[in-house]
Amino acid sequence: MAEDKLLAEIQALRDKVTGITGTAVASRDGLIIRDDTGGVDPDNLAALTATALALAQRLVSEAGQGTLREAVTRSSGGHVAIYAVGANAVLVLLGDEGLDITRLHYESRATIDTIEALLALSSSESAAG
Amino acid sequence: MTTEGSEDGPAGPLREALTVCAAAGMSGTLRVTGHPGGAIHLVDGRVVAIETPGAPSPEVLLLRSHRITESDWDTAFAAAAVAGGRMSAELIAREMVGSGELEGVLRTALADAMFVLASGTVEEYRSEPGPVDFVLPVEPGAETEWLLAETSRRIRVLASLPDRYDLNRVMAAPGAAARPGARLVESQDEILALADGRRTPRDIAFALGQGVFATILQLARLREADLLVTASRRMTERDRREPGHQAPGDEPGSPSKLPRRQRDRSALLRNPKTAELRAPLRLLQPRFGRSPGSGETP
Amino acid sequence: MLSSLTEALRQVMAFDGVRAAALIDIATGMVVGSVGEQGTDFPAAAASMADEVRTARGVAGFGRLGGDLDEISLVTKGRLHISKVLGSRPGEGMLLYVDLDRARVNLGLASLQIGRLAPAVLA
Repeated sequence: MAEDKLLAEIQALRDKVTGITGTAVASRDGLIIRDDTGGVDPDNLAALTATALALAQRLVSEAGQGTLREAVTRSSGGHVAIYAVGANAVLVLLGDEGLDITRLHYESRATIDTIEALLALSSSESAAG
Repeated sequence: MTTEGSEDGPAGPLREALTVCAAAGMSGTLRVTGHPGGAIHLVDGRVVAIETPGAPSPEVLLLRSHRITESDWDTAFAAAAVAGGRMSAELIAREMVGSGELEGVLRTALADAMFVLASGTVEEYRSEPGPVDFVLPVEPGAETEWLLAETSRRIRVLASLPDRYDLNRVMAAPGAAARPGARLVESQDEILALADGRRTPRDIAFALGQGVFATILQLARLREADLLVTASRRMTERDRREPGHQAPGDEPGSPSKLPRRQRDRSALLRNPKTAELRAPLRLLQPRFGRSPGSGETP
Repeated sequence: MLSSLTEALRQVMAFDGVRAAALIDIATGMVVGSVGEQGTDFPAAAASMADEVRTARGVAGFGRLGGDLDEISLVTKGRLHISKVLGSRPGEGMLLYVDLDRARVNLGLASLQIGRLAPAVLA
Protein backbone atom coordinates (compact mmCIF):
# COMPACT_ATOMS: atom_id res chain seq x y z
CA MET A 1 0.00 0.00 0.00
CA ALA A 2 1.29 3.40 -0.95
CA GLU A 3 0.31 4.86 2.38
CA ASP A 4 2.37 2.28 4.25
CA LYS A 5 5.32 3.16 2.07
CA LEU A 6 4.59 6.76 2.94
CA LEU A 7 4.77 5.98 6.63
CA ALA A 8 7.90 3.88 6.13
CA GLU A 9 9.52 6.80 4.31
CA ILE A 10 8.73 9.16 7.17
CA GLN A 11 10.01 6.63 9.70
CA ALA A 12 13.23 6.26 7.73
CA LEU A 13 13.76 10.01 7.91
CA ARG A 14 13.16 9.83 11.66
CA ASP A 15 15.89 7.24 12.00
CA LYS A 16 18.33 9.25 9.88
CA VAL A 17 17.81 12.60 11.55
CA THR A 18 18.31 12.83 15.30
CA GLY A 19 15.65 14.67 17.27
CA ILE A 20 12.47 14.25 15.19
CA THR A 21 9.60 13.64 17.61
CA GLY A 22 6.63 13.65 15.24
CA THR A 23 5.73 13.77 11.57
CA ALA A 24 2.68 14.36 9.39
CA VAL A 25 1.83 14.65 5.72
CA ALA A 26 -1.18 16.79 4.92
CA SER A 27 -2.92 18.16 1.88
CA ARG A 28 -2.51 21.82 1.02
CA ASP A 29 -6.11 22.14 2.11
CA GLY A 30 -4.96 21.29 5.59
CA LEU A 31 -6.21 17.75 5.88
CA ILE A 32 -4.19 14.88 7.27
CA ILE A 33 -3.02 12.23 4.81
CA ARG A 34 -0.68 10.31 7.15
CA ASP A 35 0.54 11.11 10.62
CA ASP A 36 2.66 9.93 13.50
CA THR A 37 2.65 13.03 15.61
CA GLY A 38 3.45 11.72 19.07
CA GLY A 39 0.48 13.12 20.91
CA VAL A 40 0.07 16.41 19.04
CA ASP A 41 -3.42 16.81 17.54
CA PRO A 42 -2.88 15.84 13.89
CA ASP A 43 -5.93 17.67 12.53
CA ASN A 44 -5.00 20.99 14.06
CA LEU A 45 -1.38 20.46 13.10
CA ALA A 46 -2.32 19.78 9.46
CA ALA A 47 -4.55 22.82 9.22
CA LEU A 48 -1.96 25.14 10.77
CA THR A 49 0.85 23.66 8.69
CA ALA A 50 -0.97 24.28 5.42
CA THR A 51 -1.64 27.86 6.45
CA ALA A 52 1.93 28.42 7.62
CA LEU A 53 3.34 27.02 4.38
CA ALA A 54 1.15 29.29 2.27
CA LEU A 55 2.18 32.28 4.36
CA ALA A 56 5.89 31.43 4.23
CA GLN A 57 5.71 31.01 0.45
CA ARG A 58 4.03 34.39 0.06
CA LEU A 59 6.62 35.95 2.35
CA VAL A 60 9.51 34.53 0.34
CA SER A 61 7.88 35.60 -2.89
CA GLU A 62 7.25 39.12 -1.58
CA ALA A 63 10.88 39.37 -0.53
CA GLY A 64 11.90 38.27 -4.01
CA GLN A 65 13.90 35.34 -2.68
CA GLY A 66 12.84 32.60 -5.08
CA THR A 67 11.44 29.25 -3.99
CA LEU A 68 10.77 28.33 -0.37
CA ARG A 69 13.01 25.45 0.68
CA GLU A 70 11.73 24.98 4.21
CA ALA A 71 10.06 26.95 6.95
CA VAL A 72 11.62 26.26 10.35
CA THR A 73 10.28 27.57 13.63
CA ARG A 74 12.52 27.38 16.68
CA SER A 75 11.01 27.73 20.14
CA SER A 76 12.09 27.19 23.74
CA GLY A 77 10.86 23.62 23.59
CA GLY A 78 11.84 22.49 20.12
CA HIS A 79 11.43 22.93 16.37
CA VAL A 80 8.74 22.75 13.71
CA ALA A 81 9.94 22.29 10.10
CA ILE A 82 7.55 22.60 7.16
CA TYR A 83 8.19 21.51 3.57
CA ALA A 84 6.13 21.75 0.40
CA VAL A 85 5.60 18.34 -1.20
CA GLY A 86 4.86 19.01 -4.86
CA ALA A 87 1.96 21.34 -5.44
CA ASN A 88 -0.64 19.43 -3.46
CA ALA A 89 0.82 18.35 -0.14
CA VAL A 90 2.88 19.48 2.80
CA LEU A 91 5.24 17.67 5.18
CA VAL A 92 5.61 18.80 8.77
CA LEU A 93 8.29 17.58 11.14
CA LEU A 94 8.26 18.18 14.87
CA GLY A 95 11.61 18.10 16.63
CA ASP A 96 12.97 18.59 20.12
CA GLU A 97 15.66 21.08 21.14
CA GLY A 98 18.37 18.76 19.85
CA LEU A 99 16.96 18.37 16.33
CA ASP A 100 19.85 17.95 13.90
CA ILE A 101 18.95 20.79 11.53
CA THR A 102 22.08 20.35 9.44
CA ARG A 103 21.32 16.74 8.69
CA LEU A 104 17.66 17.58 8.16
CA HIS A 105 18.60 20.00 5.34
CA TYR A 106 20.63 17.24 3.79
CA GLU A 107 18.20 14.33 4.20
CA SER A 108 14.82 15.99 3.73
CA ARG A 109 15.13 16.62 -0.04
CA ALA A 110 15.13 12.94 -1.04
CA THR A 111 12.33 12.14 1.40
CA ILE A 112 10.14 14.86 -0.04
CA ASP A 113 10.72 13.64 -3.60
CA THR A 114 9.77 10.10 -2.57
CA ILE A 115 6.66 11.26 -0.74
CA GLU A 116 5.64 13.30 -3.76
CA ALA A 117 6.05 10.25 -6.01
CA LEU A 118 4.08 8.05 -3.61
CA LEU A 119 1.24 10.55 -3.44
CA ALA A 120 1.15 10.85 -7.24
CA LEU A 121 1.08 7.07 -7.52
CA SER A 122 -1.70 6.90 -4.98
CA SER A 123 -3.89 9.39 -6.89
CA SER A 124 -3.29 7.69 -10.24
CA GLU A 125 -4.09 4.27 -8.73
CA SER A 126 -7.28 5.70 -7.39
CA ALA A 127 -8.08 7.21 -10.77
CA ALA A 128 -7.42 3.89 -12.52
CA GLY A 129 -9.65 2.00 -10.05
CA MET B 1 44.03 4.54 31.32
CA THR B 2 44.18 1.26 29.48
CA THR B 3 42.34 1.02 26.21
CA GLU B 4 39.25 -1.11 26.56
CA GLY B 5 38.22 -3.67 23.98
CA SER B 6 34.86 -1.96 23.65
CA GLU B 7 36.54 1.25 22.61
CA ASP B 8 38.12 0.01 19.44
CA GLY B 9 35.23 1.60 17.55
CA PRO B 10 34.65 5.32 17.22
CA ALA B 11 35.96 6.15 20.68
CA GLY B 12 39.51 5.16 19.81
CA PRO B 13 40.27 7.70 17.04
CA LEU B 14 38.16 10.34 18.80
CA ARG B 15 40.17 9.82 21.96
CA GLU B 16 43.40 10.26 20.03
CA ALA B 17 42.18 13.38 18.24
CA LEU B 18 41.03 14.98 21.47
CA THR B 19 44.26 14.09 23.25
CA VAL B 20 46.26 15.70 20.43
CA CYS B 21 44.16 18.89 20.61
CA ALA B 22 44.56 19.03 24.37
CA ALA B 23 48.31 18.43 24.25
CA ALA B 24 48.67 21.26 21.71
CA GLY B 25 46.70 23.56 24.03
CA MET B 26 44.29 24.21 21.18
CA SER B 27 41.55 26.81 21.34
CA GLY B 28 38.84 26.06 18.83
CA THR B 29 36.51 23.31 17.76
CA LEU B 30 36.99 19.62 17.06
CA ARG B 31 34.17 18.90 14.62
CA VAL B 32 32.93 15.31 14.54
CA THR B 33 30.83 14.12 11.60
CA GLY B 34 28.87 10.93 12.02
CA HIS B 35 25.82 9.81 13.91
CA PRO B 36 24.95 11.74 15.99
CA GLY B 37 28.11 13.75 15.49
CA GLY B 38 28.79 17.11 17.08
CA ALA B 39 31.35 19.71 17.99
CA ILE B 40 33.83 19.66 20.88
CA HIS B 41 34.86 23.18 21.89
CA LEU B 42 38.21 23.69 23.56
CA VAL B 43 39.91 26.65 25.19
CA ASP B 44 43.64 26.30 25.88
CA GLY B 45 43.42 22.54 25.50
CA ARG B 46 40.52 22.16 27.94
CA VAL B 47 37.02 21.16 26.93
CA VAL B 48 34.51 23.95 27.62
CA ALA B 49 31.46 22.63 25.75
CA ILE B 50 30.22 19.84 23.50
CA GLU B 51 27.34 20.36 21.11
CA THR B 52 25.57 17.29 19.76
CA PRO B 53 22.00 16.47 18.70
CA GLY B 54 22.48 13.24 20.65
CA ALA B 55 22.56 14.68 24.17
CA PRO B 56 20.65 17.45 25.97
CA SER B 57 22.53 20.74 26.23
CA PRO B 58 22.86 22.48 29.61
CA GLU B 59 20.00 24.75 28.53
CA VAL B 60 17.71 21.76 27.95
CA LEU B 61 18.82 20.16 31.24
CA LEU B 62 18.11 23.31 33.23
CA LEU B 63 14.84 24.27 31.54
CA ARG B 64 13.18 20.90 30.98
CA SER B 65 13.96 19.78 34.52
CA HIS B 66 12.40 23.07 35.70
CA ARG B 67 15.57 23.88 37.63
CA ILE B 68 15.43 27.31 36.02
CA THR B 69 12.18 28.79 34.75
CA GLU B 70 11.93 29.90 31.16
CA SER B 71 11.25 33.51 32.12
CA ASP B 72 14.28 33.57 34.43
CA TRP B 73 16.38 32.12 31.64
CA ASP B 74 15.15 34.73 29.17
CA THR B 75 15.81 37.54 31.65
CA ALA B 76 19.38 36.35 32.26
CA PHE B 77 19.96 35.76 28.55
CA ALA B 78 18.78 39.24 27.62
CA ALA B 79 20.88 40.82 30.37
CA ALA B 80 23.97 38.89 29.28
CA ALA B 81 23.39 39.90 25.65
CA VAL B 82 22.94 43.58 26.49
CA ALA B 83 25.93 43.75 28.81
CA GLY B 84 28.03 41.57 26.51
CA GLY B 85 28.61 39.46 29.59
CA ARG B 86 28.46 35.81 30.39
CA MET B 87 25.27 33.84 30.83
CA SER B 88 26.72 31.84 33.75
CA ALA B 89 27.60 35.05 35.61
CA GLU B 90 24.06 36.38 35.10
CA LEU B 91 22.43 33.17 36.33
CA ILE B 92 24.61 33.12 39.44
CA ALA B 93 24.37 36.85 40.17
CA ARG B 94 20.59 36.65 39.95
CA GLU B 95 20.67 33.68 42.34
CA MET B 96 18.89 31.49 39.83
CA VAL B 97 21.46 28.75 40.40
CA GLY B 98 24.48 28.28 42.68
CA SER B 99 27.92 28.48 41.10
CA GLY B 100 28.91 25.02 42.35
CA GLU B 101 25.61 23.58 41.22
CA LEU B 102 25.92 25.17 37.78
CA GLU B 103 29.43 23.83 37.41
CA GLY B 104 28.08 20.40 38.36
CA VAL B 105 25.33 20.58 35.74
CA LEU B 106 27.75 21.77 33.05
CA ARG B 107 30.31 19.06 33.77
CA THR B 108 27.55 16.43 33.84
CA ALA B 109 26.27 17.67 30.47
CA LEU B 110 29.81 17.62 29.09
CA ALA B 111 30.43 14.02 30.15
CA ASP B 112 27.06 12.95 28.76
CA ALA B 113 27.69 14.58 25.37
CA MET B 114 31.16 13.02 25.16
CA PHE B 115 29.74 9.61 26.03
CA VAL B 116 27.11 9.98 23.29
CA LEU B 117 29.69 11.06 20.70
CA ALA B 118 31.97 8.18 21.63
CA SER B 119 29.12 5.66 21.52
CA GLY B 120 27.93 6.79 18.10
CA THR B 121 29.56 6.48 14.72
CA VAL B 122 32.39 8.76 13.68
CA GLU B 123 32.87 9.30 9.96
CA GLU B 124 35.53 11.95 10.21
CA TYR B 125 36.72 14.74 12.42
CA ARG B 126 38.67 17.91 11.87
CA SER B 127 40.02 20.56 14.16
CA GLU B 128 39.18 24.18 13.51
CA PRO B 129 41.25 26.52 15.66
CA GLY B 130 39.54 29.80 16.41
CA PRO B 131 37.34 31.57 18.93
CA VAL B 132 34.71 29.54 20.77
CA ASP B 133 31.22 30.93 21.17
CA PHE B 134 28.93 28.91 23.40
CA VAL B 135 26.19 30.16 25.68
CA LEU B 136 27.16 28.19 28.80
CA PRO B 137 30.79 27.02 28.73
CA VAL B 138 32.34 25.13 31.63
CA GLU B 139 34.72 27.53 33.36
CA PRO B 140 37.46 26.55 33.77
CA GLY B 141 37.28 23.92 31.04
CA ALA B 142 37.40 20.21 31.84
CA GLU B 143 40.63 18.28 31.52
CA THR B 144 40.50 15.78 28.68
CA GLU B 145 41.93 12.99 30.89
CA TRP B 146 39.00 13.32 33.27
CA LEU B 147 36.51 13.49 30.41
CA LEU B 148 37.96 10.49 28.58
CA ALA B 149 38.26 8.42 31.75
CA GLU B 150 34.61 9.11 32.57
CA THR B 151 33.63 8.21 29.00
CA SER B 152 35.49 4.90 29.27
CA ARG B 153 33.79 4.18 32.58
CA ARG B 154 30.38 4.82 31.05
CA ILE B 155 31.06 2.63 28.03
CA ARG B 156 32.19 -0.15 30.39
CA VAL B 157 29.04 0.21 32.50
CA LEU B 158 26.91 0.13 29.35
CA ALA B 159 28.66 -3.02 28.16
CA SER B 160 28.03 -4.68 31.52
CA LEU B 161 24.26 -4.22 31.34
CA PRO B 162 22.31 -7.42 30.68
CA ASP B 163 20.68 -6.00 27.55
CA ARG B 164 22.24 -3.97 24.81
CA TYR B 165 21.14 -0.36 25.00
CA ASP B 166 21.74 1.31 21.69
CA LEU B 167 21.30 5.03 22.14
CA ASN B 168 19.38 5.57 18.95
CA ARG B 169 17.87 2.27 17.93
CA VAL B 170 16.47 0.40 20.90
CA MET B 171 13.01 1.56 21.83
CA ALA B 172 11.34 1.08 25.15
CA ALA B 173 7.72 0.12 25.53
CA PRO B 174 5.66 -0.54 28.64
CA GLY B 175 6.29 -4.02 30.01
CA ALA B 176 3.51 -6.52 30.47
CA ALA B 177 4.50 -7.05 34.09
CA ALA B 178 3.99 -3.43 35.12
CA ARG B 179 3.15 -3.77 38.77
CA PRO B 180 1.39 -1.11 40.73
CA GLY B 181 3.39 0.01 43.73
CA ALA B 182 6.78 -1.13 42.47
CA ARG B 183 9.01 1.89 42.83
CA LEU B 184 12.57 2.00 41.63
CA VAL B 185 13.44 5.57 40.79
CA GLU B 186 11.86 8.86 41.61
CA SER B 187 11.00 9.68 38.03
CA GLN B 188 9.72 6.18 37.30
CA ASP B 189 6.17 7.18 36.40
CA GLU B 190 7.38 9.92 34.07
CA ILE B 191 9.85 7.66 32.32
CA LEU B 192 7.31 4.85 31.94
CA ALA B 193 4.85 7.26 30.38
CA LEU B 194 7.51 8.39 27.90
CA ALA B 195 8.66 4.88 27.02
CA ASP B 196 5.89 4.41 24.49
CA GLY B 197 7.75 2.40 21.88
CA ARG B 198 8.30 5.48 19.74
CA ARG B 199 11.10 7.13 21.66
CA THR B 200 14.75 6.22 21.92
CA PRO B 201 16.59 6.59 25.23
CA ARG B 202 17.93 9.84 23.78
CA ASP B 203 14.40 11.11 23.06
CA ILE B 204 13.33 10.27 26.62
CA ALA B 205 16.38 12.05 28.03
CA PHE B 206 15.46 15.21 26.09
CA ALA B 207 11.84 15.03 27.21
CA LEU B 208 12.84 14.68 30.87
CA GLY B 209 15.71 17.14 30.80
CA GLN B 210 18.26 14.66 32.09
CA GLY B 211 21.34 12.97 30.71
CA VAL B 212 21.23 10.14 28.18
CA PHE B 213 23.49 7.90 30.28
CA ALA B 214 21.38 8.49 33.40
CA THR B 215 18.28 7.67 31.34
CA ILE B 216 19.78 4.42 30.05
CA LEU B 217 20.62 3.35 33.61
CA GLN B 218 17.04 4.07 34.67
CA LEU B 219 15.64 2.20 31.67
CA ALA B 220 17.92 -0.74 32.45
CA ARG B 221 16.65 -0.89 36.03
CA LEU B 222 13.03 -0.70 34.88
CA ARG B 223 13.78 -3.38 32.31
CA GLU B 224 15.29 -5.59 34.98
CA ALA B 225 12.15 -5.22 37.07
CA ASP B 226 10.04 -6.22 34.04
CA LEU B 227 8.43 -2.82 33.97
CA LEU B 228 9.69 -2.23 30.44
CA VAL B 229 10.31 -4.18 27.31
CA THR B 230 12.64 -3.14 24.55
CA ALA B 231 11.58 -3.17 20.93
CA SER B 232 13.83 -3.58 17.93
CA ARG B 233 11.95 -1.15 15.73
CA ARG B 234 10.15 2.09 16.25
CA MET B 235 6.45 1.63 16.83
CA THR B 236 4.02 4.02 15.21
CA GLU B 237 0.86 5.36 16.70
CA ARG B 238 -0.99 3.00 14.41
CA ASP B 239 0.69 0.00 16.06
CA ARG B 240 -0.50 1.29 19.37
CA ARG B 241 -4.02 1.79 18.13
CA GLU B 242 -4.58 -1.89 17.68
CA PRO B 243 -7.24 -3.40 19.94
CA GLY B 244 -6.06 -3.82 23.48
CA HIS B 245 -3.38 -1.16 23.09
CA GLN B 246 -5.73 1.76 23.21
CA ALA B 247 -5.16 3.97 26.20
CA PRO B 248 -8.08 3.81 28.63
CA GLY B 249 -8.37 7.58 28.82
CA ASP B 250 -8.55 7.98 25.05
CA GLU B 251 -11.71 9.86 24.42
CA PRO B 252 -12.56 12.28 21.66
CA GLY B 253 -11.69 15.84 22.44
CA SER B 254 -8.88 15.14 24.89
CA PRO B 255 -5.68 16.81 23.70
CA SER B 256 -3.51 13.74 24.25
CA LYS B 257 -5.78 11.41 22.33
CA LEU B 258 -4.57 9.25 19.50
CA PRO B 259 -5.82 10.27 16.07
CA ARG B 260 -9.32 8.97 15.69
CA ARG B 261 -10.02 9.55 12.05
CA GLN B 262 -6.98 7.84 10.63
CA ARG B 263 -8.81 4.91 9.10
CA ASP B 264 -11.27 7.15 7.30
CA ARG B 265 -8.54 9.38 6.06
CA SER B 266 -6.49 6.50 4.77
CA ALA B 267 -9.53 5.23 2.99
CA LEU B 268 -9.61 8.47 1.05
CA LEU B 269 -6.35 7.50 -0.57
CA ARG B 270 -7.59 4.05 -1.48
CA ASN B 271 -11.11 4.97 -2.48
CA PRO B 272 -11.58 4.00 -6.16
CA LYS B 273 -13.98 6.87 -6.56
CA THR B 274 -11.29 9.31 -5.51
CA ALA B 275 -10.21 10.42 -8.94
CA GLU B 276 -7.80 12.96 -7.61
CA LEU B 277 -6.44 13.47 -4.14
CA ARG B 278 -7.25 17.12 -3.94
CA ALA B 279 -10.81 17.12 -5.16
CA PRO B 280 -12.53 15.35 -2.27
CA LEU B 281 -10.13 16.76 0.26
CA ARG B 282 -10.98 20.29 -0.74
CA LEU B 283 -14.54 19.63 0.24
CA LEU B 284 -13.46 18.89 3.79
CA GLN B 285 -12.91 22.10 5.62
CA PRO B 286 -10.17 21.99 8.23
CA ARG B 287 -11.63 23.01 11.53
CA PHE B 288 -10.26 23.94 14.89
CA GLY B 289 -11.81 22.47 18.01
CA ARG B 290 -14.50 20.71 16.03
CA SER B 291 -16.88 18.41 17.81
CA PRO B 292 -16.01 14.73 17.59
CA GLY B 293 -17.28 12.95 14.53
CA SER B 294 -17.81 15.98 12.36
CA GLY B 295 -16.10 16.40 9.03
CA GLU B 296 -15.85 12.68 8.49
CA THR B 297 -17.35 12.45 5.04
CA PRO B 298 -17.27 14.70 2.04
CA MET C 1 40.39 30.95 36.68
CA LEU C 2 39.58 28.69 39.61
CA SER C 3 36.76 26.20 39.66
CA SER C 4 34.17 27.29 42.22
CA LEU C 5 33.42 23.66 42.87
CA THR C 6 37.06 22.89 43.65
CA GLU C 7 37.18 25.92 45.93
CA ALA C 8 34.13 24.72 47.83
CA LEU C 9 35.52 21.20 48.18
CA ARG C 10 38.76 22.66 49.54
CA GLN C 11 36.71 24.19 52.36
CA VAL C 12 35.70 20.65 53.32
CA MET C 13 39.36 19.59 53.23
CA ALA C 14 40.05 22.17 55.93
CA PHE C 15 38.39 19.91 58.51
CA ASP C 16 40.62 17.76 60.66
CA GLY C 17 41.10 14.21 59.41
CA VAL C 18 39.67 14.71 55.90
CA ARG C 19 41.64 12.75 53.32
CA ALA C 20 39.50 13.45 50.26
CA ALA C 21 36.23 15.12 49.29
CA ALA C 22 34.21 14.79 46.11
CA LEU C 23 30.95 15.78 44.53
CA ILE C 24 29.25 12.76 42.94
CA ASP C 25 26.32 12.77 40.51
CA ILE C 26 23.90 10.18 41.90
CA ALA C 27 22.17 9.40 38.59
CA THR C 28 25.39 8.47 36.77
CA GLY C 29 27.86 7.76 39.59
CA MET C 30 30.23 10.29 38.05
CA VAL C 31 32.82 12.18 40.08
CA VAL C 32 31.89 15.76 39.17
CA GLY C 33 34.77 17.27 41.10
CA SER C 34 37.22 16.08 43.72
CA VAL C 35 40.11 17.17 45.96
CA GLY C 36 42.54 15.35 48.24
CA GLU C 37 44.10 11.90 48.21
CA GLN C 38 42.46 9.64 45.66
CA GLY C 39 43.55 6.22 44.61
CA THR C 40 43.02 4.85 41.11
CA ASP C 41 39.86 3.11 42.32
CA PHE C 42 38.28 6.40 43.41
CA PRO C 43 35.85 6.67 40.44
CA ALA C 44 34.70 3.08 41.05
CA ALA C 45 34.22 3.79 44.76
CA ALA C 46 32.24 6.93 43.89
CA ALA C 47 29.99 5.00 41.52
CA SER C 48 29.26 2.38 44.17
CA MET C 49 28.45 5.17 46.65
CA ALA C 50 25.85 6.45 44.18
CA ASP C 51 24.52 2.89 43.87
CA GLU C 52 24.19 2.70 47.68
CA VAL C 53 22.09 5.84 47.64
CA ARG C 54 19.83 4.49 44.91
CA THR C 55 19.47 1.17 46.72
CA ALA C 56 18.60 2.90 50.00
CA ARG C 57 16.10 5.10 48.20
CA GLY C 58 14.60 2.10 46.47
CA VAL C 59 13.86 0.19 49.68
CA ALA C 60 10.10 0.07 49.95
CA GLY C 61 8.75 2.58 52.38
CA PHE C 62 12.17 4.00 53.13
CA GLY C 63 10.97 7.55 52.77
CA ARG C 64 8.12 6.90 55.15
CA LEU C 65 10.46 5.85 57.94
CA GLY C 66 11.25 9.46 58.70
CA GLY C 67 11.77 11.48 55.56
CA ASP C 68 14.06 11.42 52.55
CA LEU C 69 17.54 9.95 52.60
CA ASP C 70 19.98 12.47 54.04
CA GLU C 71 23.25 10.70 54.64
CA ILE C 72 25.01 7.37 54.34
CA SER C 73 27.96 6.55 56.58
CA LEU C 74 30.34 3.72 55.89
CA VAL C 75 32.76 2.78 58.63
CA THR C 76 35.82 0.64 57.97
CA LYS C 77 38.65 -0.29 60.34
CA GLY C 78 40.66 2.77 59.50
CA ARG C 79 38.30 5.16 57.77
CA LEU C 80 34.99 6.94 57.83
CA HIS C 81 33.13 7.56 54.60
CA ILE C 82 30.38 10.11 54.93
CA SER C 83 28.08 10.76 51.97
CA LYS C 84 25.67 13.65 52.29
CA VAL C 85 22.77 13.83 49.83
CA LEU C 86 22.33 17.24 48.22
CA GLY C 87 19.07 17.91 46.45
CA SER C 88 19.73 19.17 42.96
CA ARG C 89 18.04 19.13 39.62
CA PRO C 90 18.34 17.92 36.92
CA GLY C 91 18.84 14.25 37.76
CA GLU C 92 18.66 12.38 41.03
CA GLY C 93 20.70 14.85 43.04
CA MET C 94 24.34 15.11 44.02
CA LEU C 95 26.34 13.51 46.78
CA LEU C 96 29.02 15.18 48.87
CA TYR C 97 31.37 12.33 49.64
CA VAL C 98 34.04 12.76 52.31
CA ASP C 99 36.75 10.26 53.19
CA LEU C 100 38.06 10.71 56.76
CA ASP C 101 40.72 9.20 58.97
CA ARG C 102 38.88 7.31 61.70
CA ALA C 103 41.64 7.70 64.26
CA ARG C 104 41.39 11.48 64.07
CA VAL C 105 37.65 12.14 64.01
CA ASN C 106 34.42 11.25 65.70
CA LEU C 107 31.58 10.11 63.41
CA GLY C 108 28.88 12.25 65.03
CA LEU C 109 30.92 15.41 65.02
CA ALA C 110 32.21 14.91 61.49
CA SER C 111 28.69 14.26 60.22
CA LEU C 112 27.45 17.44 61.86
CA GLN C 113 30.27 19.57 60.47
CA ILE C 114 29.97 18.16 56.96
CA GLY C 115 26.20 18.59 57.09
CA ARG C 116 26.64 22.28 57.92
CA LEU C 117 29.06 22.84 55.11
CA ALA C 118 27.36 20.68 52.48
CA PRO C 119 24.90 23.25 51.06
CA ALA C 120 27.80 25.64 50.41
CA VAL C 121 29.30 23.19 47.92
CA LEU C 122 26.47 23.81 45.46
CA ALA C 123 26.03 27.49 46.31
